[in-house]
Amino acid sequence: MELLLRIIKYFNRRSLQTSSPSSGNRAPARGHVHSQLKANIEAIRAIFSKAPDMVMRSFFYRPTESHAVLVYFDGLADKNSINNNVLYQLMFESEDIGVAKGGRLGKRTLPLLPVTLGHITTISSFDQFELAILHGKSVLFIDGVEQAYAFNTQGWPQRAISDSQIEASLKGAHQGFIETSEMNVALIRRYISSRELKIKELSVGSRVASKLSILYLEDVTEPELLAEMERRLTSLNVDCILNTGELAELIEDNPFSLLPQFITTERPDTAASQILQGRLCVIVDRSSSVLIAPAGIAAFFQGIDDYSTRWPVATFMRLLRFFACFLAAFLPGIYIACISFNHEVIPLDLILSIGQFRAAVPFPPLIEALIMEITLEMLREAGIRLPAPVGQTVGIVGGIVIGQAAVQAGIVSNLMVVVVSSTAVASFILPNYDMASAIRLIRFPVMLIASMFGIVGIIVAFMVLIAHLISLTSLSEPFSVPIAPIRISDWKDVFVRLPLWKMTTRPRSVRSLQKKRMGSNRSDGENK
Amino acid sequence: MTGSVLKPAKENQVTLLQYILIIHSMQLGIGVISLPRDLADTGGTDGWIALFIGYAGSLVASLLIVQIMKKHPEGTIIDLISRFFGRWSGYLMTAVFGVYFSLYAYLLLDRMILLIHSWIMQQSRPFVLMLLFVIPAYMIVKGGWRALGRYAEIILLCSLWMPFMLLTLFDQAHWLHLLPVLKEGWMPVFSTVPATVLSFLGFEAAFFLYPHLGNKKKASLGIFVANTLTLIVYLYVTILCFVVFSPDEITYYNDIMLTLAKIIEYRFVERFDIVMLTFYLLVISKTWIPALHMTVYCSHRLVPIGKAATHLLLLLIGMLAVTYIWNPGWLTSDKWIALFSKFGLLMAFIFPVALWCLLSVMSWFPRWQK
Repeated sequence: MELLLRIIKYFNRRSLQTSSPSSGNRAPARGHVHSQLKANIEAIRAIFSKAPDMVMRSFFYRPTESHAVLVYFDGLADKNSINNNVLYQLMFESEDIGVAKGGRLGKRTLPLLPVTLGHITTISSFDQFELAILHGKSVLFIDGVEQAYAFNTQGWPQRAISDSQIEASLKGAHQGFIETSEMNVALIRRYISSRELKIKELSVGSRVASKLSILYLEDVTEPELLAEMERRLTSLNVDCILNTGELAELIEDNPFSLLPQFITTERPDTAASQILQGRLCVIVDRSSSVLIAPAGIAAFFQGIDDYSTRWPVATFMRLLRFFACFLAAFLPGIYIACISFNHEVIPLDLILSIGQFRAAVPFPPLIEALIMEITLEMLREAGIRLPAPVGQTVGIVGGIVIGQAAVQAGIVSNLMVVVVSSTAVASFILPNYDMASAIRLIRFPVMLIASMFGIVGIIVAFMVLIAHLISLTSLSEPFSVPIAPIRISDWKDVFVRLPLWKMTTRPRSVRSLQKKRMGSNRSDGENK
Repeated sequence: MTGSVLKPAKENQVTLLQYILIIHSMQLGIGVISLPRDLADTGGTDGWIALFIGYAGSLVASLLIVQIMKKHPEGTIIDLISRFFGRWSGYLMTAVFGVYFSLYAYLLLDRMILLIHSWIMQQSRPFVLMLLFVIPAYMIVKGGWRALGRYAEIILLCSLWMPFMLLTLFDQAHWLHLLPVLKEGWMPVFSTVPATVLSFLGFEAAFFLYPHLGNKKKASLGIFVANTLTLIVYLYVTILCFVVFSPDEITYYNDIMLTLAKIIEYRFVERFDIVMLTFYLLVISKTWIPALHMTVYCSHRLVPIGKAATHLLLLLIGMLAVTYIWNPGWLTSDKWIALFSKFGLLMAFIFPVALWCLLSVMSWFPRWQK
């Protein structure tokens, strides 16, 4: 213990020495834009040395009778837009602009720039210039003007909007988020086209600024939640945030927990439905999944398909998921406990037939289960990495061939194969990937304690799990809500999915300002 | 996880349901397993009538507790006593309550371990079993009353199936066993009352829980519901035992509830009693876990050194050490629980009545009328 602490301390000290504090990461301010073009170009070259993808196109700008230069990054800016909307206009169609020859071009004359783009900003310092050009804008410098102009010509490579792979749905929308935050915001706006949908933009990261946008409904979301989320995001001090998972890990309440405390989703419809319930949605630029907070345990059992299928079917699915979750965490443990500890629970005939299978197996039940479970986890992981056709082969080879051969070779018993494969199937039922992986992991300690203490061990594991669940929080809100504390009014959408016209209120667990979601759309006798 | 045991009331409020369930769950635990037999021992098949008398007694005491707590709604009983009787009486009562709840927690935990030891795991050492249960207990108590309330709620949901499982036993019921009612007059019933009164112990938690209740107007209603729930469960199990077993047979078994569950058998599960007991451990666990919390509260009031979590840790280690060294068996446990019952009678019945009388008299004087 002492040694461990020392090692940690040592590494902490080392990392302190090697990494400079955050303020050192960003280069110092480089001053203002000069009025001479030459000085400006020199400054730009000084900032971006060894950047062959930077384009500097110089030309003669007629209205002011001076030289000008347009700077942009080749891959980040949209070439069509630059050619048609910027360069062409500036070079050829600027004669009838009413700027006096040699006159000063300043803030007031900004609208008069002959550029057919909507979004133009003025830039006065090289820091702003750096940020703008790195975000794909093109920047215009004109000789004799102590300002530069940035045009929104972003056009970096981005993928087309496609179905989300990880959260496939049968009846939901087939649009998934992509890696551009503006596009993701637009996708959500398509669902919630209301002026109450507010977007708060923050920039986090000291080396590379990552744009984070918090989306919420102003008249629904509890302001305390928003303030808490903002506080957590602004207090971050990191180099760069690459994706949503990183962000979640940095701001979650209990970083040592196995369970995810935020929902991450790639589906705009899921995100929109959560925002409508009063939750916050954080979009991280460059990441194709968004983060939703606060999350309650119930949200991990809800799939978007539940709301587009008939409600009895959806209710059945819900119950199935809870049952599957229990199986995935506890079934191998229960099997081990029954086989190695509590034989008396199993009827005589059954235990004789189990004994027959087990007689050939040289391993104790725990080892036998571990062999199968680990094989299965390896197959699963291998299946992800391989392209789809090969992945299927792995599945067949692993599932059928290895399983069957292992039984015949007497390494594992028949019943163990049944148990492990049904556990595996159960663990894939949960719609949320993070939760499913957490539960897959929980079953290993359960197996271990079951092999040591039998069913008493399993009950202890269950108690520990409950104790952990009730102490977890998500954005300072209880995680186990609405199961504990019990909020019966929220149970309309937890274990069962009541008909939509019965769910007239937003969940109380989110503490939304506006409780009512819809009127009673189906009063008695209306639809006869 | 940041919650410390001694958070101010505002931040660790419980809902009415949680308040009901915490009190109910402290009452309902080990008692159910042996109660029907204890009732049958002295009261014969009329023993169940005594439950109503015990219920009435505990109801009066619990309502008195709520009345007492109303005089100082923002604090626990300790604050109330320090306010009315001075600091030193406050310290004294803290110590008494601390000892009371630590005994409560230890004896019930130990009884639970003995049950596991004799029914499920004969080979294991008792302190090892205790070590297992100490871990979740530590995690829960650390969260304060809120965590205790949530725990009670989840366990309630997880144990709802049990009474329905027992329903199948009504096939084998012989209702004639209950007739004639009061076949030997009232005397056997009255002699059974002490056994029933003690099985309602646990409502004295209201002394400490009351300030944490959000809606204090419903405190009396809540404690009434809690006691009634307990009565219903006791009645259900007792009557079930009485009609399934014959009046003589019932006195042969020690843990009558488990013997009852043993009758249930399926083609795929034998020894259903073991499955039942294993799940029932969850229910038992919520009797002593709140008691641990109150012990730590008292000890931290008395010795405000270190964090409350440290006190809890020391307490749990102490319990383990006692079990390791002393290792009480069934007889010792019985003897101690009998002793503890007298203590319980004093703390939960006599103390509130006396305190209430005293406070009523005191409130005649202008000094205490605020």
